[in-house]
Formats: sequence, structure tokens, C-alpha cells
Amino acid sequence: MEEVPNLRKVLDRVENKLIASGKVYVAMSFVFWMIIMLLYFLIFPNVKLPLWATAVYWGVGIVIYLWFSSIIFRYYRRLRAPLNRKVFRRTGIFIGLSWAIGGFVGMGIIPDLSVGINSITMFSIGYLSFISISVFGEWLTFRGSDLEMIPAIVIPAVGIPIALYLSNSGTNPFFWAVLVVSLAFSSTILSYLYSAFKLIR
Amino acid sequence: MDHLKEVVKNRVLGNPVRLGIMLFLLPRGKVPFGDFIPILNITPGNLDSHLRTLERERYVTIKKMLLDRPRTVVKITDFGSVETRMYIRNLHKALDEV
Repeated sequence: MEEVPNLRKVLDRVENKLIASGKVYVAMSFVFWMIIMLLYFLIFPNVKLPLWATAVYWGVGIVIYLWFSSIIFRYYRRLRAPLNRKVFRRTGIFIGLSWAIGGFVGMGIIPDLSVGINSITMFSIGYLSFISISVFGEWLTFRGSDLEMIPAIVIPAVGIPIALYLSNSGTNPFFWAVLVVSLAFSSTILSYLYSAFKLIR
Repeated sequence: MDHLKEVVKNRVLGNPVRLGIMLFLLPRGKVPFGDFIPILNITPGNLDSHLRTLERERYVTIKKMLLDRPRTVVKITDFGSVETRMYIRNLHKALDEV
């Protein structure tokens, strides 16, 4: 009967490696968004480009991100999605829906609100809301199992009132919002990598 | 004993080579045919036979792809990934019952 504990140990190791691979894939998707965000601030403040170039940059950036995420998501779903076949198929729809709702509220509704605050601040608040709502929706899709996502939900949400305060201080609120999201995503990436290595150690 | 019954019932993954193929594929998604041989330590003919069984049972798809040169690539299906994870879970629970 010595084989039973040995087999259980092997199965635990196999399962842990699969979970760890899933966590590394999710970390990669957060890294990719950070590259798009930070590349913008490496290029645009140093080169005088018209406003439409900014719009094109973000449009193309979002399309490339969605394409990359869909590849990552296929790997992740295979490793971590619920085993109920109907839920397995719906996972992608729920994640897409959470980013669509986040985008609609954060980038559609909030920047257009007329509450006596300048447009760049409202855009920054919208951006922070977009990230916070979308990642929260993604977290709910996996029934709150990925605690590593919490910094990416909480830090941008906490940043919203501070962005309002900054509107009178002369700091570029959008630049500040990008730093907040970078901090949030870096914390999430670190949490995912830590969890992954803890599982395979 | 339901989990043990489920494990015994799955004749596809009951074979250790086929289970090894699926576990190698699960985190990678797709793998060139030749990459399995040193990992599983089997002959190409034997590997081909197991892959045909997995393909027939809809666990994998096998396609020719142009990588560095035309190569046969094995890709896991959604059905295959769910079945493999379910098999591992059932095996785990069956061991707990034992």
C-alpha cells in the first residue's frame, strides 16, 4: 500500500505544476498591458505628435492587447477554468463582458460626466475605473479564486479620490493614473509569480 | 467508490503513455510530434499509434504545420483538456477513498 501515498504525491505535483503554469500565463497578460502603457510615455512626451496619433496608438494598443490576451486566455482556460463543460465554454464570454462593461463605464460614461472637473482628470478617473471594474469582473468569473488579482482591483479604486484631489495640484492626472495602474499590475504580477513558484518549489 | 469507477471507465487515459502525452500537452497547448519521443521514451511508431487513439477520441488534433520546416504538430482540444483534468481529479479522489 506504499504506492498510494507515492501516487498521491505525484498527482499533487502534477496538479500544482498545472496551476502554476496558469498563474504565469495570467502574469504575462498583465505584463503585456504594462508594456503598452509604459511605451506610450516613452514615446509621446518626447515627440510632438498630433492628438489623433494618441488615439491611434491606444486603439492599436488595445487591439494588440486583446489579440495577445485571447491567446493567453486559451492556455489559462485549459488549465484553470471550471470543469463543468457549460461553464467552461461561458468563461470567455464572461471575461469579455467584464472588460466591455468596464470600458463602457470607465472610458464611455465617466469622461463625459459634467461635474465641474477638467476633462483630463475625468479621463484619468475613467481609466482607473475601467481597470478596476474590468479586473473585478474577471476575478468574479473565476469565483474569486485568484486572490493575486486583488491589488489590480483595489489600488486603481483607491487612486480615484486621489486623482480628484490632484486636479488642483498641477500634476498631470493621466500620467499619475498610469503610474497607479503600473503599481497595481506590478503587485499583481509579483503575487502571481510568487504563488506559482510556491506551488512548484 | 464513484470516482474509482470513473477512473476505471476512462480507457483512453487509463494508458500511462496517453496520460503522459496529455499531461505534457496540457500546459503547452501544442507540441511538435518529435518533442514527445525523448520525454516519453517511446518509438515513433508507438507514439503515432497512441496519438491516433487520442485523435479518434477527440482529445487532440494532429496537423502539419510550417515551423522551422514542415512538422507534424499535436494540439490539445477543449474536450481533451477538460477530460484530462477531470481524470486527475477523479484519480485524486479515488486515492482519498482508498
